[in-house]
Amino acid sequence: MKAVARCILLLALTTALLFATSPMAAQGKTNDLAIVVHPETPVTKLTFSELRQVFLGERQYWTKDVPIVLLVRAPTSAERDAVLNVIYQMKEPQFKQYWIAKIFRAELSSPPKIVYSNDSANQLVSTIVGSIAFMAASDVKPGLKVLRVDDRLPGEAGYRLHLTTK
Amino acid sequence: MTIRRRLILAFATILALFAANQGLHDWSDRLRTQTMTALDHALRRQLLLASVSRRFSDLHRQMSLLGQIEVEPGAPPAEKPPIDADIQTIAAQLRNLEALAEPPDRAAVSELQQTYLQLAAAWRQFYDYFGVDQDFAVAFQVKAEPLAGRVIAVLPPLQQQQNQRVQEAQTEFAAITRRTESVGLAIFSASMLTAALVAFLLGRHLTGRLSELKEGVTAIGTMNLDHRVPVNSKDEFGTVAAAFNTMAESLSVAREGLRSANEEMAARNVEIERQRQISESLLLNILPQQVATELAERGAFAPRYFEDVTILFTDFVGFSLATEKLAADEVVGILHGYFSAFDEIAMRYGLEKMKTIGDSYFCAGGLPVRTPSHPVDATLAALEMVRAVDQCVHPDGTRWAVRIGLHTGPVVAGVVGTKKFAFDVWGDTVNLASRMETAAQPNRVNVSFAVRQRIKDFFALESRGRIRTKEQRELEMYDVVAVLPSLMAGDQQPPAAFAERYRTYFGKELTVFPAVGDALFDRK
Repeated sequence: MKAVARCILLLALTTALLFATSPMAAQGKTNDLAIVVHPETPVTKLTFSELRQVFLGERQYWTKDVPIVLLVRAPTSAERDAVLNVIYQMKEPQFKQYWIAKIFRAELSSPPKIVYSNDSANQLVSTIVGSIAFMAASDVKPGLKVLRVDDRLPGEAGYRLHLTTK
Repeated sequence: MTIRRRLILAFATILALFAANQGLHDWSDRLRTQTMTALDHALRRQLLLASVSRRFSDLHRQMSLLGQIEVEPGAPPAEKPPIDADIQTIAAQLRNLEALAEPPDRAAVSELQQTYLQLAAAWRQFYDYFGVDQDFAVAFQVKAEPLAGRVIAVLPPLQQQQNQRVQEAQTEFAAITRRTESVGLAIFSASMLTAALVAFLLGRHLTGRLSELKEGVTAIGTMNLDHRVPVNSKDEFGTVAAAFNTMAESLSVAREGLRSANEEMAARNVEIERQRQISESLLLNILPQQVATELAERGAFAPRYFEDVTILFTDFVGFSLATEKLAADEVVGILHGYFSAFDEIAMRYGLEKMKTIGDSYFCAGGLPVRTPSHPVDATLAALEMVRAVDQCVHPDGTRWAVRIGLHTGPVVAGVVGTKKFAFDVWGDTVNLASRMETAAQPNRVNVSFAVRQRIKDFFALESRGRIRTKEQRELEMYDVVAVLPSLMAGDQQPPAAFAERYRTYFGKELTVFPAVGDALFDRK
């Protein structure tokens, strides 16, 4: 069953590479941090504030029937450090404590999911409707939807999320 | 209706009431059991749901926290918290909940159970892939989340629904309890009222009839034989009342017969009494009352000795000569007049007439009732007899004279003969009295020495010396001259002094005394 699932994931990835048009691909690779969502997710852009609400779990649904599935990189990755620093504005212990407290208070319908690589993030975002993840813009695979933040895409002037901000 | 039927009916009524109360008790018990079972099921569902909710919440939190554990890809954590037990426990509780669910709730519980089973499967896969293949683990974690959300969304309303069910069951139980208690109280009250009514009616019937019978018996006891007990019922009381009335009728008839017999007997008794009085009167004419009574009671009068009596004899002077001049019927008429006067005088002075012998009148004092005053009484009677004879003037202008003799001494008295029997006395005293009469002077009272000794304190006496009788006996004789003048003082009747002495000597009152002033009492 696991082999079948992997085949499905690879097939989807291949399809995305062949047919999808990635803005980052069009704009070239940068060290910006891209926010990606499942292609069917009914959103294309967020303000930084809205993005922060999503990542803090204060907003849990894209629409009534589509929950937000937050994918967070495991520690010791540049992406995680950048997100904690820019979006969460928390240190690592605060971040963990924040989510544990949310879980205990039952304030979450879907706690953040830990992914251990950008590949995994790409794969999961491409298969889970409503999922949202962050990764280096250069690692974004075709087929995923990169969100505009404050109406800017990674690589554009004024884009606020950078890996180098660490 | 008979008393037996009434009692059976009353007993049947009590049994019916008992059955009604027992039925009510069973019905109440069944209703309470039903509602108690419903309440018990509701409470168990409530507890099960609470337990499921708590376990599910813990497990959900546990799975969420498990997802936050950071592991090295391909290196599962050395120790994962076990979840199978909780998953199975919740599944089992949901099965129980479905089994206990009310029909309207069963679909929702079943849907919850199905959702949970899917969720449990997703959680197991997440658990199995966790640390092994994180992508799969995340995929199943994501798959489980909406299922968990559905469970979480369903549980509170389901709990609320079960709380509502518990409340409804409690309300129903309370309502059933109140209703059964109310109905029970009503049935019990009705039973008590009915029992009391039955007892009252039965008691009134019994006491009423018994009271009528008691009144009847009381009336019969007071000889009101016309009283009849009303026959108001056809039961045993009616039978007894009819029998009572028959008895009363019989008693009434018997009483009428008895009354007639009594009246007839009373008439006979009156006649018998009249005859008896005639006989007694006749008997008393010839016998003293005491003698007649003893003779009537015992059929005989035993001779008895009287040691102290006074015998009085009278005899008319010249009776033989007079009879030659008068016709026999005229002689008898004259004697009848004298002797009737003598009878009256003797009776007044308490003397007992013995008999008449020709023109001689013979009576005695001191018998048959003994009295100490008989010499004085006989002397007074003799003086009054002399006066009666002396005062009587015959149609031809002549007067008769009488001799009277008295003697006191012992005699034997008795009744002799079986036909025309007579009370008589015997003894020398009688002969001596006769001799005193024979020796008496006309219209004088001649007494013996024995009499003189007994009357000398009342009468003045004149000694006539010793006089020879026909038996050649010489006896001291005395003429009674008059009452002592000292005793005649005053004009009282009887004289006070005489009466006082009489009382002193004899211990009794003087009731009879001749008229004062008569010449016979003071002929000196």
